[in-house]
Amino acid sequence: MPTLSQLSLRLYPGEAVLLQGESGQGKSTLLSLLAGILSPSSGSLTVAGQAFHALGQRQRDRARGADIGVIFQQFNLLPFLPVLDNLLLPIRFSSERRARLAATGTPPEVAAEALLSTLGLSLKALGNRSVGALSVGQQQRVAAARALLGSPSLILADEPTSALDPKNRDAFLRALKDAQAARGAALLCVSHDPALEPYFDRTVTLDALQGGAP
Amino acid sequence: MSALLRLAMASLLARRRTTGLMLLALTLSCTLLFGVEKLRSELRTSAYAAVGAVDLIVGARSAPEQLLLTTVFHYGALSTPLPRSMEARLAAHPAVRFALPLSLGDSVSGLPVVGTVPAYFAQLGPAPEVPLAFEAGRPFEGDEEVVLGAEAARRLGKDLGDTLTLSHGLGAQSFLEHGDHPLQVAGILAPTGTPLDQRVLVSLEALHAAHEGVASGAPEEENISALLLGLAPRAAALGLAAQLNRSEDPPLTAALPALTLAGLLRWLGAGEAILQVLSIFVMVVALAGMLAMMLASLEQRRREMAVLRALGAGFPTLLFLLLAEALLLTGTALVLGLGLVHGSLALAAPALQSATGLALQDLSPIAGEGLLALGALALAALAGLLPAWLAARRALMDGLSPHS
Repeated sequence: MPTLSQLSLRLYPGEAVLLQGESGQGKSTLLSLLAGILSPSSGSLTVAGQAFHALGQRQRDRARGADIGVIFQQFNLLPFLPVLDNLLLPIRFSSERRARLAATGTPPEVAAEALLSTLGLSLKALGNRSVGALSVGQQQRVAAARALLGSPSLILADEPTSALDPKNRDAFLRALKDAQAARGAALLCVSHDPALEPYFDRTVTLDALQGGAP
Repeated sequence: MSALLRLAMASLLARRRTTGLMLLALTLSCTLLFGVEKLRSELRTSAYAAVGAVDLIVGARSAPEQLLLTTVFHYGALSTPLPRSMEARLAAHPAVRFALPLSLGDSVSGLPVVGTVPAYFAQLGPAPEVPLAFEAGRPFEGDEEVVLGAEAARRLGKDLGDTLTLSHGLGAQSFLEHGDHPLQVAGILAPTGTPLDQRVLVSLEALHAAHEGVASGAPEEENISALLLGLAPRAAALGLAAQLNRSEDPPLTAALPALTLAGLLRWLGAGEAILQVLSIFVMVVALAGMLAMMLASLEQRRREMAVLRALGAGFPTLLFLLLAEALLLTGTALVLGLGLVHGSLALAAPALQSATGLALQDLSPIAGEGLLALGALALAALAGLLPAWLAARRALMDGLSPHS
């Protein structure tokens, strides 16, 4: 696992940042740190207002469920659950997300359906189809909707477009960026692909971050 | 918790084929486990029920086990007869409530014939002072009537008023038929779930008359096979048995049926123990199969674990999820196994009764089954712990996303 040191990064609500860099530099390690799965050996790490460096593993797991949405490269969905159940998983796992959603007065199913349609998918069209019957592009959108449901303050995306063709990539990133900005969540997307730059508010590299620039 | 259980269930259902096979193996082993336990306890209960109100069995000198097996389970034969005069001698004893003579050795189409006295029906009911219930008719009177056990009547196809003849000796094909002494069916007993159901009961006089018809030489002296005694107080049995066993005029054996039965069952217990150990081994093998299945599925489930982890699932949650799968599988198998045992026993009970004369009376779940079920679940939890722990552990090492 690459060592990260002297790293400084600050994300603002509603901001979309692309972290660009070649593989093996430590991008995955940084994501694991931000998600609270790894803990920094020194220094401070505050995510969504919580001092992760001072929290135990269980508290970080809980904070991740409550405040962070994650989008993987692929295989985001549990193949044995229908689309809607996959979408509602964060609400089942985190009482904080459940409470935030309840405060809006929208039933979870309705909120999930609305999110999906902002991302250009219709729950009715997907119906009760099994996840395996969806295209990769559709799966990534469902994953994005799931990450956003219950209004977490940070979205982490790990090479979310690497399995998509350019046309699908374009549509996916536009939709994700819009949905994230509309909800005021910060988005950190990690990719080796420079072609993604235009979709983001700013682009940073690990080298630059480790140099000490914010 | 219930959301996690639903998740575990959905995951199991998605792997239908392996889950189904595993469930089959677990269910069959649970069926074996419960079946052995159930038969063990049921046969014991039925065997004791067959002894009923009899406190002491008295016969000419032989082994107590032989006396019990012959008189209660009509297995084997007694070689030395007892003079009928013993009935009056024992009936005179102050502790003897009833003394019922038994004369065995004849049969009707393979069903054992018991020669006795009408008091038999009054004394050997399901409880002291409760007579045997008749499905139809009444006890025999005189030497030309017969009473049939419920199963005997069914097998012979005889009804009240029908006639039948006795054969000398046991076995379905007997050489000598007491053909010239037909007996009329005076009564049919209600089912008791004991070997009595298969018996043909006649008066001693009827047996005597049948034998005289065949015997060509001197008239037989009046002999019986054994005496069934009921005592008051019942605790007098031990002292009376000791006293009778010392008797040399004639040489007697007095068997305490419950005690002798306990001894026999203890001896049979070794075989039962082997069966039980075997059935436990089969259960362990099935659980080992489940363990192998779960271990084999771990690699392909790393993604699933990573997704759950991203959603905030920690080590305890993943551990619970995988343990729940093992317990769900085993729990379902236990329920199915119990159902199979009880269902098939209910179906097999009539066949078992005609083969052994013992009826399985109470088919409700027993305490032993509860203990076995708990033991099986504990074993399943133990077996599930290894893959659960490995998977949860690895999910932590994988970080945010697994690198394949």
